[in-house]
Amino acid sequence: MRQTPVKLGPLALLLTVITICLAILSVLVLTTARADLRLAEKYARTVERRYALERDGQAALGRLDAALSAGETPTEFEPDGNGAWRLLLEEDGARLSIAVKADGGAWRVTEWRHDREWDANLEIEGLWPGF
Amino acid sequence: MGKKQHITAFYVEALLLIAVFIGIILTLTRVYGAGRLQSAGAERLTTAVTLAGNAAEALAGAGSEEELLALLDENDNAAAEAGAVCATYGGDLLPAAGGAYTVRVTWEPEALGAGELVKSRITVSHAGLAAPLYTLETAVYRKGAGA
Repeated sequence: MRQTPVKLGPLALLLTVITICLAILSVLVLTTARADLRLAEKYARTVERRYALERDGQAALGRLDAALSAGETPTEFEPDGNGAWRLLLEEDGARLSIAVKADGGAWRVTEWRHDREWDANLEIEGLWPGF
Repeated sequence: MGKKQHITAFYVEALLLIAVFIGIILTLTRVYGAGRLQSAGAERLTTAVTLAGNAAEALAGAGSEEELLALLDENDNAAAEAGAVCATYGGDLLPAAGGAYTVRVTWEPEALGAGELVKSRITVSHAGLAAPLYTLETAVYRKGAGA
């Protein structure tokens, strides 16, 4: 009986294909995980900025209260002409708009809004701009 | 080439192929491991940020340190410390006594005008890590308090 010789060529080819598939999958896993981490870090920075503005706004309210209680004019806030005092705080594009209605020594917050600057022409890096 | 030499060449070639394949598999395993670690880090950070945000909102709604403790306490997961409240949570963000995530909210009142400004540092840490995962600083002004 004649023996058929075993050749490594087809096996090597199969292993090469498997290796290429695994390498592509591993690169995808790593890039996705990195993107997740970057997004989580961005979210963390956004929340940090938001509460930094919140802290500054609350401190400004305290100073406004102190000024109004002493019968003085608040220096940080500006009158908007409708009987309210307004203050705009900004940090890295994030904004906090505060409006306070004062009547003598008493006051109440009528607006406390977080938003951020919107740039409609913002180009996203690596994204096809289209025609 | 003799039959013996042919068989030796075959074995050497097969061994080389297996060695190279094992080397590649080991390298790829490290890449998968790095991806898994980064993914777990992202999950922990997102959880920590959410827990810190929730604690900051509880602080904004609390009138006193006792009220803050009452707001955070659920299933005996919170306890008062000196000038702070500590609460533990599970990975699913739900209050759990002995959970993996610990949220520490400090309560630092400061007289300001006719009220007080309560400054707070919110620190979220994980049981398996020495360094805190996330720190948030916020404040709330309480009109008429402490006057």
